[in-house]
Amino acid sequence: MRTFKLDEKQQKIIAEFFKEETTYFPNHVLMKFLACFLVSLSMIMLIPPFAVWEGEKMLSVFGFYFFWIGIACYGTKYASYAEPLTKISVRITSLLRYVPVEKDQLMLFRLCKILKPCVILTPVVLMFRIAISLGVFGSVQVWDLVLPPLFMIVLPVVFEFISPWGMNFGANISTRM
Amino acid sequence: MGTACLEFEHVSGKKGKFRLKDISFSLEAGFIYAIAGENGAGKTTLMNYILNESPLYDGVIRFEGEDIAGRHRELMNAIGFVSEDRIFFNERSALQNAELLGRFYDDFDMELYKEMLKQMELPGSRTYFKMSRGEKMKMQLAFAIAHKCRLLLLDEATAGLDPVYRIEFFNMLRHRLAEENITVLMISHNTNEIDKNADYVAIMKEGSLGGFDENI
Repeated sequence: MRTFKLDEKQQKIIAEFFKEETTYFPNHVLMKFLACFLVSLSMIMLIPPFAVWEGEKMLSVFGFYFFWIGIACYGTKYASYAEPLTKISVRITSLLRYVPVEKDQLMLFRLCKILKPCVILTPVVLMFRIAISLGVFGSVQVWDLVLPPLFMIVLPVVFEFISPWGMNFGANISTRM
Repeated sequence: MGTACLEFEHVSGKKGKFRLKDISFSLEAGFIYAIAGENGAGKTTLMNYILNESPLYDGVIRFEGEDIAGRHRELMNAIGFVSEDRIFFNERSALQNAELLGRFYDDFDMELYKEMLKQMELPGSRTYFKMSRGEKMKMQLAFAIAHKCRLLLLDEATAGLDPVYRIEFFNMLRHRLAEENITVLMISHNTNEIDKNADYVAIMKEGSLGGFDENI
């Protein structure tokens, strides 16, 4: 079974690379805007507990969906780039295929980047849900406690492995297990 | 006899219907080796086995005596790869590309890179996008030499180049070989070019590789 381990030296070099690399700046700005917009929208939908959405539970589901799309947009700059003139989208892994950096380290770097907002926002959503549930309804539904960590931390990580937005490491892992 | 620079031991693999059959060879340092063969003979597949991070073959490939599996980072530090398939930032100059990508190498020598570009009469400020194919190949060669590669892989690097570029390219290569102990493995379907430049030649046909013979 393959194991993932952070290599601090490689992580430092990757961070420096992304800090200086601004070729994909136009995409980066658009994606950052989309990420902020979608995550903010999702927060409006996710902060109220399920009991508030009685009869409109799909809104809460959309909230999680928007959150994931927003996080995916945020992580795009760490997965691919398109240069202003040629506009061809190139995967970072293709660009760095023949340089001394491991795909695992690139994936872990991106994972750490996208997990950061997830880990910050999940407790915020949980806190609001518990406070509103206790304050307004006097009790907390189990789904209000289970679904935010599941959809806001576990699923983004899973999607990172299997989605075309992510680095698509799923196939790579299956061949090496 | 010293340790071989690159060694294939009963390497075989399958990609779709194509099969690479039981390939074994050993390359000594300091020479230019060439694999000739028609398109689709398996030359690039063989090179990809050395370069891929995930081992997609059966058998053993050794670089300087050690199995290459699981040593991607170390290997990419020691291997230079010149190919049309290699991606650089199109809208960045030769120097900017080196600044951005050179940081990944343990021993990237920016001064040597600039010196190589100068020798090749390639302006460092020219963007990769605006370079001709020949200039791109020269830039890649300069990049490979600047990170002090010990094995240089050339994948049809001079195909389609005009004779002047080709002569300059190989002159530069010979010059570096004389100074450093670099091993070159080139693949090409141009037998004329191989006859002129390689020390040892092997022919690849339908996934099978004959032994390396001295090019007289």
